[in-house]
Amino acid sequence: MAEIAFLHYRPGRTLLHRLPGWGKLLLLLAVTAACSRSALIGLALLTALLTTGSLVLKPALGKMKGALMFALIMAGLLAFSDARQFGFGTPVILRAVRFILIFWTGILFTTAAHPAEIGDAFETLTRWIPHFPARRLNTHITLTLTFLPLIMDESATVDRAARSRCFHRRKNPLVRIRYRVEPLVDGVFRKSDEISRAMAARCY
Amino acid sequence: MNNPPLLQVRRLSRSFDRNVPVLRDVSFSLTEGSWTILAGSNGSGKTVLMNHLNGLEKPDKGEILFRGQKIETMGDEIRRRVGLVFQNSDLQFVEQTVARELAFGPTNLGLPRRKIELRVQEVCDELGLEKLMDRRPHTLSGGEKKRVAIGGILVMEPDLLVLDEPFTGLDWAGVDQVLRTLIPLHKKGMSLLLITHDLAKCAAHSDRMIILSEGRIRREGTPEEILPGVEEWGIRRPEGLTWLK
Repeated sequence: MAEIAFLHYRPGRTLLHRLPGWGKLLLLLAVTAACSRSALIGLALLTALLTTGSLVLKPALGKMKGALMFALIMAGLLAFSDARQFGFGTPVILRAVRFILIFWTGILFTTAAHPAEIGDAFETLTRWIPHFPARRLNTHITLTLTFLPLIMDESATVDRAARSRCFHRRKNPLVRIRYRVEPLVDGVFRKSDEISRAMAARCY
Repeated sequence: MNNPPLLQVRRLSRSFDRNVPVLRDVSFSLTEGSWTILAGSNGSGKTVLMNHLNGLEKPDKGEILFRGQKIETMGDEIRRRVGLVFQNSDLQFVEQTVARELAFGPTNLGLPRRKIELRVQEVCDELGLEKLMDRRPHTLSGGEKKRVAIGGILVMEPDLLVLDEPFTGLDWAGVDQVLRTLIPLHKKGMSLLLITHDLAKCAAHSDRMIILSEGRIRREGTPEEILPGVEEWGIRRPEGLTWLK
């Protein structure tokens, strides 16, 4: 029985679910742009909006601990890098907050938009551009959004199998990273090899 | 006074997100040295149940006792006592050689190097893995992978071996290899719990069968009692119990 986890689409009947694919994509771009440009009050309003969205969509945050940790680390690194350059202050904190809000928007968006819908919406919005490979990019987007959650699921299973053999007792962070990353990368390459063969077999 | 069962699951319930119940009031027990089959169709909750048996997942309600002791009070000891062999062996492998893969568990337990080498050698001899020791686990055949996955658990000297769909994706030779690994283990006194929907390959060896459907235990008894009615629960009834018997 599958558990609902990071980047998984979850069927529903919310307002966001009922928007057409292109509408969701435009909304994503608008909220992302607002997140990246807003000042303190704007960011507070966006936080309220995303909180409301989270309460309605109920993404499985409990199953996203790794991804949320990643977002926090990235935001921290961003702030650290900015602070070294400009000194620590409000703009540095705001940039880190913006990053987290954009990440949060992405989580809500993928919760309410099916991968195929996102790919089709991208194609709808871009096919008028001459010589632009909209169809091909649609396939790439759909494949990426379909297989990313599967890879995350695999990663969770790898982690569970390792914990079953008491891996959590290892305290060395390098060893812990190695045993998490190595099987995951190995699995990703094997899976991508299978996918590319399956696509080649159907003349992609 | 009677000894407590090896493992007791009492009124276990578990729901995932949005209160989707996966396990509902599940209770059963396993005795020492038994070979039990937990059968159910896809999505019946078998794998989720397995993940609870050594504390990888926490139930919403209910409890699991190992030899009368609640597993949450046992710390890491329960992971050693109840060994889980996952359905997809590739996802269980974390090392680049079979020898290192076998040593992974005991190394995590912090055993001395000499003891780890000794255990790995014992399991290697027991399962006939000598020729595979320097190979990459991911490059082995299906049956070999499953034997290495079982070996990776046996080195931790469990009292109960739980295997999730051990025959999935294996050809006849692979199934034969797995059964020839499990039968001697059982004869030596190892308790086995096979989680499967494929009864034809293992029903002949089991002494107890449990049917799980939609997260509930529906039937429990000897294979002779259970097999005639299994199709009611979406499980194929085996025509003959001939595998290695």
